Amino acid sequence: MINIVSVAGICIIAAVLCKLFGSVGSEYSLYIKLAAAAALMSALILFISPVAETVRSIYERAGADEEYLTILFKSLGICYITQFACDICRDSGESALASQAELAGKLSLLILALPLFDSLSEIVSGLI
Amino acid sequence: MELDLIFKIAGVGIIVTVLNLLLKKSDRDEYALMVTIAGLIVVLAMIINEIAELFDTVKSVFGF
Repeated sequence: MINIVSVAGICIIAAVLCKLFGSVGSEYSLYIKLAAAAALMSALILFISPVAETVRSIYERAGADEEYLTILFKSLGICYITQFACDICRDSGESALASQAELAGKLSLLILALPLFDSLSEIVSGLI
Repeated sequence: MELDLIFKIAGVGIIVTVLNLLLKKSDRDEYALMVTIAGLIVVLAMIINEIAELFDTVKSVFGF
């Protein structure tokens, strides 16, 4: 179970410490933000594993191809990492870097999904 | 959970800021700059492990 109380506590304490460094040494507020975000995210991502297992078993029962689910989860991971990098960049005021990270995420998602387009076109041509 | 790391970073930040102020007041600007840079590098070295761990976790969970 996610301990929501400790997550809330970590978030609030990190926010207060960020404000503490607001005027003097503002670079430390970025570091605190980064550490808190990384620590929380790596703790929370672990809770996706049981969800993924359940989805996988449902998918297997439906008899669909396993490969599609792998692509789905991979793209979910890319989304999380891109969002993380984007938010950190934007918080430190570098929106140009943030949009580059966004672009990289979009492109890698597209590349990941290209085989799906292929198989879709095969299915369509098979129907015709 | 990982609250220690946040407090460690805050502690380094406070110490470096105070040292910076003291060195600036005593007209040693070059040392103040050095202390600031050293503090930043130390904190970055502390964080980088956490970020690597995050990326490893994401990779293993999502099956990269």
